[in-house]
Amino acid sequence: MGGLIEMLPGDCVSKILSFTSPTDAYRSSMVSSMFHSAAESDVVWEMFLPTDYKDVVSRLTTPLTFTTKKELFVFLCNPVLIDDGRKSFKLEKSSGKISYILSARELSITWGNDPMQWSWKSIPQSRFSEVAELRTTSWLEIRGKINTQILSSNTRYGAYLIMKISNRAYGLDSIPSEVSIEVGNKVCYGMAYLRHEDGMPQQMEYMFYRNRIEVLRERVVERTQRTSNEREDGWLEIELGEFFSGEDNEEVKMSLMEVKGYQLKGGLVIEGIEVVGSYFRFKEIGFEFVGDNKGNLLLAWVEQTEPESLILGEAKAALCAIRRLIVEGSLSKPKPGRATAFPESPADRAQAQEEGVSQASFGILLISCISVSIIVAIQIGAVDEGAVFNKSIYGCLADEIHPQNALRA
Amino acid sequence: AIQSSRFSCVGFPLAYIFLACKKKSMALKLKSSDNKIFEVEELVAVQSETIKSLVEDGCANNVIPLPNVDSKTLELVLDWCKNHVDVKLDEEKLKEYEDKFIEVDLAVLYDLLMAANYLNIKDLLNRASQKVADMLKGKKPEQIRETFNIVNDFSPEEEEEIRKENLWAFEE
Repeated sequence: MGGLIEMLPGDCVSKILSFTSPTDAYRSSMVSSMFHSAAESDVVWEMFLPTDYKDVVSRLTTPLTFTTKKELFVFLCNPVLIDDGRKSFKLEKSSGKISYILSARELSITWGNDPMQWSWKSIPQSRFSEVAELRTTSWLEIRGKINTQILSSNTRYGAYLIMKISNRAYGLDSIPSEVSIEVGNKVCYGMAYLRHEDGMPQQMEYMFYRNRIEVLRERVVERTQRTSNEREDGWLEIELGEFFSGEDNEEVKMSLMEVKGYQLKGGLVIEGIEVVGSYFRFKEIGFEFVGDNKGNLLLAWVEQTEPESLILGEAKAALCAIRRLIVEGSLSKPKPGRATAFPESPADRAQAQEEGVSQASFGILLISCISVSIIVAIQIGAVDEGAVFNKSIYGCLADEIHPQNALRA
Repeated sequence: AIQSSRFSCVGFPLAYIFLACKKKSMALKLKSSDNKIFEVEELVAVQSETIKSLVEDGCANNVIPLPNVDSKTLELVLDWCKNHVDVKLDEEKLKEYEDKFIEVDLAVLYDLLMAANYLNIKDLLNRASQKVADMLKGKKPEQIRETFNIVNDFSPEEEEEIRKENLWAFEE
């Protein structure tokens, strides 16, 4: 059947490419001159752009002119400011998934207008014109909202508070802050210490007020602990939680609060909240998310791109097993569904706490962590049908693997 | 009540005869590239936008020649159309049918693609494109060439240029 594809009309090939992904389109353009010209077509890139891209373009702070859809796509893969510079918009270049950063001005910060507690200033490290700096407060409450309508549908998203902790910070990590994500009537809680990822607790304070701090800590319900991570842009981020965007329009409420200690705290700089496909975190190593036939549970999946070099031994075998289940139809990619917060039920959460696996950083550690959780899920699933597995990489992977579904062939 | 039942006694057979006549008169004749004649109901055939516009323009009284589609492909295409006439069909069953339908050789797939493109049958074109796209996803250029038996017709300079063009997409 040699060479036949070259006989297809160019628009047929463009049509085919529009069903792939931006990465596949780039790769295809290197195949042959026919593919190259087909991969340039507007038919292809229109499918990769968000359906409401015209609306986004009209809200750009700096107006833009473009001739082809590919040109526009490439442009939007770098963060652009919209809505008078209060939000930053970006497309992920390999998948076209939408992400936003809501600036501090777009958030609701309790006492944010009180100059004694918060000051608004412009700093060179920020992408926005203003950041919020905490001078001192006893009540730290930051809330943000976003509608799933403006995000990519049926996508797993994470929300991250982008911030800095100054050297003179005090009182921030005496007790953990409570973070939450709420979608519809589902809420997912976590807790996090506002400190550098490798940072020591603010020690002087601990020395003086140890007993008091111990008592205060007990006020916070023990939850899955999230740590801060250094970002490529030099800021720190703390995960507030994750959600699945579904297909309908739902309001997602994100928050970080430290209101139980009443101690004064200061030295926190808020850049904003980023809402970004969690998919990002895995795409480098070829992972993607899939769900069961109901469309609400997800797990990681390895693409065909050289898994050999990335996944070792048993891990690879486990992933192949999952892939086979997907091929057989007992698992499938998420169907259009409702937006929801993760994890889904209180039982899931209880289990999550019990296992209490800490987060892994990127690289090999992450890979081995994924592998372990998947293998565990498969093996235990065989003996204990009702088990719900909750723990894993980045606090999210295994919460999705419900072996009773995975093993129902 | 008596009146209406009397009406239906007369009405039903009449309507039936009327519909039957109409149905018969609506059969279309399609001629494939290898001169085979296919007789199909209009409802089935007009899923092709190309045929639909011919019918609307009144050019469908005689045999409609389809010089770009051979009989083997046309038979498949018409089977697809027959199964897509009744939109109320069970969604799951339809999906099952489509999945089975599209499990064909690459060569047949190309024929279907070309026929769907020429006859302008959107759902078939999408399904066939999706099938080829799935075979292409996640592959490197060399692997794509291998799968689809494509010759690299770029000069080394051109290849380098395209590589540079797309470099931003691959750097992390």
